[in-house]
Amino acid sequence: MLYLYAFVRESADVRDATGVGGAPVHLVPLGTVAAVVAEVEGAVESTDENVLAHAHVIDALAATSDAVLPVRFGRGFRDRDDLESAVTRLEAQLEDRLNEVSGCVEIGLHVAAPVQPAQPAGSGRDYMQDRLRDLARADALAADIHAPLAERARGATRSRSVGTTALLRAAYLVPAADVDSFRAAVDDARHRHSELSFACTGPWPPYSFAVLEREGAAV
Amino acid sequence: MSRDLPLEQQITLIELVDRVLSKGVVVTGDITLAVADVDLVYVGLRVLLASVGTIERLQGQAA
Repeated sequence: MLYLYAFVRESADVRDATGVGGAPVHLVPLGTVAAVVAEVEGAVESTDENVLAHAHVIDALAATSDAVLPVRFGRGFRDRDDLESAVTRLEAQLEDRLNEVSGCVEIGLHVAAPVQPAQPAGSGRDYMQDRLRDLARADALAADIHAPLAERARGATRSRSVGTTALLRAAYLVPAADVDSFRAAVDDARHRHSELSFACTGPWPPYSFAVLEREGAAV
Repeated sequence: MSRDLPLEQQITLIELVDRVLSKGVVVTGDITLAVADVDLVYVGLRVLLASVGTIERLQGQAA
């Protein structure tokens, strides 16, 4: 079995990397892109160590090459032929995505509002109106924080299904050279909204932007 | 052994697990070699990090 870690450009360097289960990682060139894989025997155990090993391989790749598309944990191919036939169909798309994330890192952002004390119960109708008004206000607040950051970034994804407490959960694709100024912009938003909690993480390899078209939305 | 991690590190850990397990490319035609339970992995990592002191390494990569 071939365990799959990431796609990179054909010229990437993966020397010395070891991954899940200690298996050495190597590059399979497939035209203009290359797959980073390791030979494994059958199924891979879903342990925390293996999840960390997967992340470490991708971190190491990101440290040495400017364009890495991480693959989700636990995926692979039966053999090289299966890998080649799958990737050949996707080569143009993988190349586009690699160009898009080239030179960029991902910054994650969570913004949360303090939990509101329960209001005295009114009528059901009042409750629903209050609730809708709160949700609209939360949505406007989230947009006010997200929009200027998204404008600064080369790409942005924002999770749906947020409520009045978890206001915003987003990821931004930022050129590595602009990380400091991007963080400063996050700090500006933090100061403008001192009542909210901000958690800014990264830089990460661009996991949230490693999405191929047929999968649908990123988040 | 599973002493509590500071909030900032917990969020980083959750974010790491979320990215590795639920983001990233999935190629049509591939097969599943491992299925991981997000909650179990997260708890496992907390214990792992708190016990063997790999927190610094994680921070180094994610700071």
